[in-house]
Amino acid sequence: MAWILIGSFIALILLRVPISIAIGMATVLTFLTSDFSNALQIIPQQMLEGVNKASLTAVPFFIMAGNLMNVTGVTERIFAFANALVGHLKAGLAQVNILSSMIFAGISGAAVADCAGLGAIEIKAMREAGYKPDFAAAITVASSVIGPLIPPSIGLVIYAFLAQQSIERMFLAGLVPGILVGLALMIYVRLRAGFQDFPTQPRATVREVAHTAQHGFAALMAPAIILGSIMFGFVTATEAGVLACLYCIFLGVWYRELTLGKFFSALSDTAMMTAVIMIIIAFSIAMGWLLAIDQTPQKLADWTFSLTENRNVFLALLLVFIILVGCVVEGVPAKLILVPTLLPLIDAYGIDRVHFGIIIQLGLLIGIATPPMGIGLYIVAEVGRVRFEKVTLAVLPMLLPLFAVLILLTYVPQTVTFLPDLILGKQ
Amino acid sequence: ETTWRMATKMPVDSPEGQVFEKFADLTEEYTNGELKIDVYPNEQLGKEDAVLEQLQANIVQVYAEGFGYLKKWEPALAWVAAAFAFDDFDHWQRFMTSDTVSGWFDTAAEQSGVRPLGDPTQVLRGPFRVMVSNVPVETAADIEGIKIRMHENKVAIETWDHLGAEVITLPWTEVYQGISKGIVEAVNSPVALVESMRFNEVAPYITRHDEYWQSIGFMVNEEALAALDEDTRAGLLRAYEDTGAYSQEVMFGVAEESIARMEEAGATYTVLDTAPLVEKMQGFYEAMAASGELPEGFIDAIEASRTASQ
Amino acid sequence: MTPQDYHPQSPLTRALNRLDRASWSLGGAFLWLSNLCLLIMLALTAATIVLRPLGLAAYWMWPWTMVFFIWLSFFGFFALYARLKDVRVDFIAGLFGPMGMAVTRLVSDLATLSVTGVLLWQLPRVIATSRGVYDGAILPAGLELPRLALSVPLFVSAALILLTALLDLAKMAAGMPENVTDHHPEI
Ligand code: NA
Ligand code: NA
Repeated sequence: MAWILIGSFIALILLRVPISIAIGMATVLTFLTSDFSNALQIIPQQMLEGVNKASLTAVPFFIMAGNLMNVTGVTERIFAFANALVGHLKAGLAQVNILSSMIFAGISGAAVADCAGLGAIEIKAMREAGYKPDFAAAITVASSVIGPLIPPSIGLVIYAFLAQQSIERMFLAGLVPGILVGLALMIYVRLRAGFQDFPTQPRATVREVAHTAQHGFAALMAPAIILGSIMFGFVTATEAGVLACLYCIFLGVWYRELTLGKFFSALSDTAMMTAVIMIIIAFSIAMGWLLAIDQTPQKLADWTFSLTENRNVFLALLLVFIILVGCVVEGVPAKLILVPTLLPLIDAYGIDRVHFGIIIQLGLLIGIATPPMGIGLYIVAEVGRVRFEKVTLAVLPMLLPLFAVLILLTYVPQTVTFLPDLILGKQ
Repeated sequence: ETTWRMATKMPVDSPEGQVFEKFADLTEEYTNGELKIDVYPNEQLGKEDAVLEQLQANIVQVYAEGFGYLKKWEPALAWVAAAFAFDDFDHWQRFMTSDTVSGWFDTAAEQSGVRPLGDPTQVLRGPFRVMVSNVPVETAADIEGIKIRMHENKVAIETWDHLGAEVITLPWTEVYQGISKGIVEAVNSPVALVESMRFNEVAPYITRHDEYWQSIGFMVNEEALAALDEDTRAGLLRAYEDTGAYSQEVMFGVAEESIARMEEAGATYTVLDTAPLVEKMQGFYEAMAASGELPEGFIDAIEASRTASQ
Repeated sequence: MTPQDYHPQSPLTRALNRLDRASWSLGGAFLWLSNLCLLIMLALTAATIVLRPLGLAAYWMWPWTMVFFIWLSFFGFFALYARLKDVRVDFIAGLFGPMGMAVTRLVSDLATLSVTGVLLWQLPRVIATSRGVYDGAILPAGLELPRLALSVPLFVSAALILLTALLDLAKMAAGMPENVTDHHPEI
């Protein structure tokens, strides 16, 4: 059953079927070939179940915050501040690109706002400074992986709901891994600058740093507001998303950059992105119902367990599997299918659910930088006006630091669990 | 040989999860393997409305949950857990097995083909309700003016308003923070959840008030039940009754241990005399009956079952 | 290419293009319905944050936020289909040239018809079993929103998507180009 499901979904995706229809069709096909072919009313019923999830109401607001930052000039300010800080280093603008993504990550929950909004500014600046466009686009895509690790994060909201973990805990767990990915990319760029010439910039004066910091300060405050208000329990995760949006609107008005037109364009983008995600979730939940009633997860767990009882071997197989799936299936639908299926196994091998959440999050995120479903590649190819194949090639070596962090996180669980356990107590 | 699917909301390792597991085991044993029950925990098959629709369609054969959810077929069933309407558990049990309530279950069954298995009070939930507060609550008078958290339910809000409390609605997951920040002083909860929600850390006064009684209905699809042969059905019913006894044992055992642990950690446990609350609520129910908000025969059935008919 | 960019030459293509433009506009209307739902969610949640500390937050605010979230998603289903906001992987089809694009266009339309067809086929059963109300979503008259109302936008969207896919098949038969966009949303 799982094979019909995954196989037909991938085939349909590759046949240019829109993703929401592809997952719907895969669901219908799986139902028709199961014992429940006469219970198709379950599909609309479970679609309603899928979107009727309180914890998922945070999704549109974390998307909207990123979109609002892009239309209110906050993104430019973040970039200017990062530039003043690290622009003078070797391959300075590449380092700026990474640091900007780390700052931007603190308010945006999706990688798209990074690639499309911040990415447009970064690639433009790097091209003008003399960087090769494919390199500029590639580092933009690679660093956009940081966004959905550092809280807030839509992927982690969805995982929290699937694995019955608190959103706070998942957010705290993502913070250190997100910073580690940023650092790994920075080290990679520095090493590469050792034997390859990149354009350089003069060091910013203290006054310039102070000036841009003053401008960027308001943007830097946003993550503190979001995380802080959740941690101190003033608001729920959804309300924190709303606070972030209100704060961005306030900044836009304060900077006199937010027009009604820009606001509605950010609103429409948010509504459509939310709708795509939620329709995919809706069909996936219908599919999840079928997998659950067929007890597929338990069967898979028994089968895998019969192969190996060694946890480290299992983790290695898991990593390869997640990365392969991430190449062909987007993060949200992949999680919706994989998490309920894999949880019994994760529990059976004694792997912490929070730990697993970060592994699967990063593992699938890498897929935005790999073909054929590398959505990040499509976006930067478009905003950077570079050929898709050229970005794809340029990004390949940059996957190495990402894999290195993924392996570190997988085999040293404390890098993930230390912070949430420290702040929220052990589970 | 038949396999039934049984949906529940609870995790397998919770006390209720253990009770359901026991039911599955006993059923297989008492029916000599003729009926096997697969339990689907954790809302795997969906939330209440979705599972009830699957129960109607005979995709799921048993749903173990509160009877309140049957209210969509018989609105009167929203009232089986009326607050402070009953003197004690026995009174409630007599009410639940009265002709009036049986009639409500019949109405629901006529529309949906879903009905409870056996005596609807057998499998306990909770097993009883307490108020957890950061100020002492020793008598009914202490409830006056207390800032209490309530879920978004009109009747619950009006009930506690009538009892003199100051009602503040708050999501369940926000209660811990709400108490520690002084937004609310108290919350009502099944005793089983106090420790896992860590309420006792911020509100050390635990008062058993038996706000209402709750049972877990084993709602079954009538068609599926009718399809069983007589011996198998008898075995199933016997398994249900034994599960009821087992649930009392497990639930009260767990509650006692939990209370002992919380007392050890500095909590104060009190059992409230609820007679004044029951008396106060009679006016509330009479006013509601007068305005036509209560189901037909509700108050009469409560009164008729107040004393045991010998 | 969008319906606006197409210049019909015959009565048939003119009629189809007129329908195509209507579908495009309707997609825009549904996009605005989604936007409206999102704005209401934003307003209700913002109001809750402000009013709760004052003890003024009404208990119906949260259930209604959920209702608008559900409607946002379901209205958005047609909007994202008609306005081409969904994700499509076209480079493999592109490898096979115009033939690849034509075959995958047909496959997409057929898949769309099957999915929406199944949803609409099940509508009578959904209506027959959807009972009760959405708890807490009170209406001005004191009643609560029927559970069935939650799914109505899903079925309306499914019906409109089905018609749009049929229209595209008719366009294909008449030799008209498919609606496409450069848009690449992230999910
Ligand atoms: Na970047
Ligand atoms: Na983020």
